[in-house]
Amino acid sequence: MTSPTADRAQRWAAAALTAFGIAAVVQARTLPFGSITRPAAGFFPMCLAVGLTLVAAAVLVRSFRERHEPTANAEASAGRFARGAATLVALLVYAFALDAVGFGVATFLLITFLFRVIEPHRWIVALGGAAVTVAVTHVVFRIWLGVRLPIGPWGF
Amino acid sequence: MFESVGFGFAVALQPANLVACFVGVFIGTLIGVLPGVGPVATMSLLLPATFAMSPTASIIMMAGIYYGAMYGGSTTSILVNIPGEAASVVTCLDGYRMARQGRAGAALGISAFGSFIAGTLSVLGVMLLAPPLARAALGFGPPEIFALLLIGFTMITWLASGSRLKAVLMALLGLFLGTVGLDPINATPRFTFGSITLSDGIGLVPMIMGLFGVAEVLVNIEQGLKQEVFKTKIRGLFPTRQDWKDSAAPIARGSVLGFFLGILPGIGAIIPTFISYGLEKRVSRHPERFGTGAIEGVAGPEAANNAATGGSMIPLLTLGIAPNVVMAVLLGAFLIQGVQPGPLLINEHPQLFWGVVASMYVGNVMLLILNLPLIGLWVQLLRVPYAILFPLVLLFSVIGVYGVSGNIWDVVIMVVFGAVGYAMRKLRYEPAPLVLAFVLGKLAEESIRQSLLMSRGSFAILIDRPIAGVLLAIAIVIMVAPALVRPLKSALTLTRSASGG
Repeated sequence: MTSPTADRAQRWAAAALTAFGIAAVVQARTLPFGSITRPAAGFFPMCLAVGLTLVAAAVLVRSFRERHEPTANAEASAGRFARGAATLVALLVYAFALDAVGFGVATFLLITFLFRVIEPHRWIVALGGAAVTVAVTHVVFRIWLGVRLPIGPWGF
Repeated sequence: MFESVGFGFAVALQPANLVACFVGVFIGTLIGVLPGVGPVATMSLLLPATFAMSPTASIIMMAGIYYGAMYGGSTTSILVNIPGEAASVVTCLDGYRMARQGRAGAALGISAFGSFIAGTLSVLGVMLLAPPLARAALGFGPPEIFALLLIGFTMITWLASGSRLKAVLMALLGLFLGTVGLDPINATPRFTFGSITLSDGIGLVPMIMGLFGVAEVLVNIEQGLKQEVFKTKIRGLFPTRQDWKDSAAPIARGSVLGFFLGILPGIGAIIPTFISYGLEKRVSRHPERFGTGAIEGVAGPEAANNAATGGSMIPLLTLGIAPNVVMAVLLGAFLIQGVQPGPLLINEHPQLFWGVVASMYVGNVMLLILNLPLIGLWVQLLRVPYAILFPLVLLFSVIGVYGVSGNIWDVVIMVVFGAVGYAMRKLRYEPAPLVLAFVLGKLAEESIRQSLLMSRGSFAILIDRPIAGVLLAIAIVIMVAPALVRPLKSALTLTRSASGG
């Protein structure tokens, strides 16, 4: 079974990779190429960028000729897709919050969000789960394994 | 030889190394049991924890996680019909059927015993093959290394499960991303855009955690993964005489096949399981039983994936080349400890080489003892809902990435690769060629540039030197074989249908 949405998605992906390849060629040109007898810093990246562009273009051409099966999990609802996207955004915010508020507070907020919003649990479960997670990770990673984790203004 | 093996056991049985081995195989089994958490992500996560350990103990622990995961993966396949680890996909076919027929115990038992036998044989193989191969590898120069890497690249793309062209594209992308950072010969900054983080290159750990760990979680959130543990009383873990009779040959074949395929760059532990299953089905007198609960369908592939773990250690320990993504992480663990694996490893760090090899045998014994009595515990663990597990997987990924570098931007890189990995899965682009090419890229660039310097710009150096020439010929055969085989097959089909009609 083929799907027009999948065809479009495959074409966009191949086009994006072709554009990436062209950008890579442009950037690789700014590096010294050297010569075949004395290859310099730009030699290998330039060869790869050209190869990448050509193969991506071939995939793009082929994507117009072929019909594609639906993308993996195509039947998943928009709500489920939104949950995945929200998880990614939460992780990004978490990454930047780590240095600002420290591992303990940032992790508590992230886990509460994931427990409460992404796969909804009751508030008590979300807050309790987050508190236990912070405590256990603190003991296991910071104290036992000696992993360096960011310390916030509150000292944890 | 026997002296070295004895020395290895003396190292492996030291208390600190014994504990490291136990921790490794225990964690390996644990993450093998849990679907959605693989050895790559776990080993990356634990990399920072190895800072404080001795080189031998840290590599023993990391290797233990890898082969431990192979044992654990089968439990989930048999009881839940979800592979706990990618190399246990095939075990679902007959293992779960056996569980439904009330033979879960026999399936789990033969999988554990088969894994043990294969693991033991593969350790023997490493002991016998690695030292002569390391001696031979001492004669390898840049052209030989490049030709060998070329085999790796062709294997990666040849074995792609989907479109080969897409796999080539991903390999080229991985190679290109590997050039970000300082040029390995002149230290010229490339594609860094003034960023200090990028001048060190894109980190392997954030890339792997993003592409495999975060992307897997995102796909599972979208799917709404629900695992239903098959409710059955698990009894009779010790296989019957008939089970042994049916499984002995598949275990032997799976062990040999897995070990030798595991050595080849780009193969890993997954492909040998499929080949083993296909082989068993082909040689069986009752191929129709496969897929309905045939014990051979469990024994062969489970032996193959365990033997492959031993085989894949050989290129890493003797040539310093990571043949698959897991070995790439293990290579990272070596480098963190200031040890460069390769032909000189056996002479320069004998305690590390022989200690790790002997620990693999010790670990296999531990796994056998650990797995059978603890199956009840693993079953309980499988009942933990994914809604509870996934936030922990994400958190551990962040800790693993941050712990290695202490750099927030590496976490951002992980999230970006998480999004890329998710899109790749949706669009059926495979992440493995990208990562493997990324890992091998730096060595490939160094070796081709040095080869061209040596030959004053002549690519003929890859043919003139005998070993490089043979390796290059193998790479070319792998590259062109599919193009030759396809018309041959269609010609054969046409001939058959013509003669039949």
